[in-house]
This record gives sequence, C-alpha cells and structure tokens, in this order.
Amino acid sequence: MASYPKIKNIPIVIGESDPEGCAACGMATNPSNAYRNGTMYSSYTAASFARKYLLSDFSGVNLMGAVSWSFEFENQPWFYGFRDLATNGVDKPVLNVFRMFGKMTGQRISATSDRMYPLKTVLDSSIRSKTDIGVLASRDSRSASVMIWNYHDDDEQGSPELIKLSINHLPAKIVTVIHYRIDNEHSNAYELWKKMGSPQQLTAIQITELEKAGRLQTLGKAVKLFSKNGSVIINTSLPRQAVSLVKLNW
Amino acid sequence: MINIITSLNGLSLHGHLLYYNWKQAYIGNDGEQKDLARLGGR
Repeated sequence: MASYPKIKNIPIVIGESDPEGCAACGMATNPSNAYRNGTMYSSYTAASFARKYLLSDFSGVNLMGAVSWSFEFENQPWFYGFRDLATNGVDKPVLNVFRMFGKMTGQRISATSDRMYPLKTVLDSSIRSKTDIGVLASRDSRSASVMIWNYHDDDEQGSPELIKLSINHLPAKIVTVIHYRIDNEHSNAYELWKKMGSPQQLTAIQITELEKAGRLQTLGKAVKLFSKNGSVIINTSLPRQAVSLVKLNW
Repeated sequence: MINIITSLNGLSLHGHLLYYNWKQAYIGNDGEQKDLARLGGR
C-alpha cells in the first residue's frame, strides 16, 4: 500500500489478528493449545501487538487498529484451551494485556530495550534464542505508560530477569507510579484454578475467587517518586512469560 | 541487568488510534467491569 500514493494513508485495520489456526480446537484434540490458558498467550500478545506498530513504522502505512480474533464459547468446560479471553465468565491472563493496552492513553513514544529482538529477526526467525524483553511506551498530558514483556516461543517457565527502567524528561518533580503485572501470581485465574485441583464442578465461592484472581492486579501499592533532573529509575524483575505495565501519573 | 529507556520528549510515533479503539471496545466509557463482563458469557 505504501508504494501507491493514493492509498498510502488509508487506515488499516487488521480484522482477524490471531496466533494460529483453530480457535474452537481445545486441548482434547490439540494439546498444544493449552498455552491459551496461561501466561504464554498474554506475553505473546504483548510481544506481537507491539510488533504491529513497528511493522507499520517500517512499511510506512497507517495502522489504525487490530481485532483480537478470539471468541466466546458457551457451555464448555473450564479452561479448555479455546481461543477466548475468558472461560465461563472468568477472565484469562490474556484479557489483562488488553486492559493494560487500554490504560496506555495518549501518543506512542519511542522506547528501547537492550534485550528486545529487532523486527527483522522476529519476521525472519521469530523468538527462539534468548527471551524477548521488549517495550512499548506512550505518554499523555498527565501520565506516561511503559509496557514490558518477557516472551519466548517455547512455552516454558524461567527465572526472572532484572530490569532497570529509565524514564527521562518528565515534566513533574513528583510522580505516582502504579505497576500492573501479569504473571503466575498476579492477574492469573488459571494458576489459581490449577491449585484448586482443576475442577469442572465449581462452588459459588470458588467462582468468586477465580473472578477476583482474573482481574488486572498490581505489584504492590502505588508509590510516589521524586524525579531527579527529570528522570526516574525503576528497578524490577520480570519472570519469563510475565508482562508489566508501569504507569506514571503527575 | 536489562536496560529499558524511554524519553517523554522523544519521538512521537503513530499509534494513539489503536489505544483509543481498544479502550472503546474493551473498556467502554461507562465502566470497566460492566463492559468486560459481557466478554465472559456467563
């Protein structure tokens, strides 16, 4: 499209954005689709949706949006591995990535990570060596948002990586920092469901607990930080398959 | 240690429309949980 001036700026909406083939194929027929229940799917979504922006930049086209091609399946077993964002009304970790994206208001801004795969490598050979620790950032008039993920194509857990996040040229001396997190302990109803014994007949109390566990959660309470020469540094650790959203308000 | 850096006076990139659409589609103007509950189907 970019090579045709007449259509170069027409907005592009990716109408069916999904990782693989069969949304309605559960784990019984496709065991590998179990990844859709947990943090593999959420970290993949962060890493791949961020690349759509980079691909748009590279191609010089006008990306307007993308639709997560996932569905709703009525009267099906719990955590059955369908490509859905919730199971029986309980939110899966992947839904919380979209909640994070929804909090990234304003304009996208450039950000770098020294462990983020280049776009060309992702397109040519995907993410098969070290994990991809990538970043996507935005700013608004009174806030800034930084999403960080730790993704790899192999569905395995791994030890946390230490992260030093530097946010520069802040317009305020005091900022409030809220750190949202999706990992095995946060925003993750699937892990709680497994701890319950992976039941298919749930009590009302269990459903309430799962609904609570499935919501987007923070890593501790909000904190106030003083910027130094317009900068703040936030140190954290990020487990494999985890996603963080660090939101600064002033 | 992984270094991640962003500057708020840095290059502004195309992309705000996507966030806007996500917010409208998934969060809605009238409350996060109300709209998101419809995705669950229960």
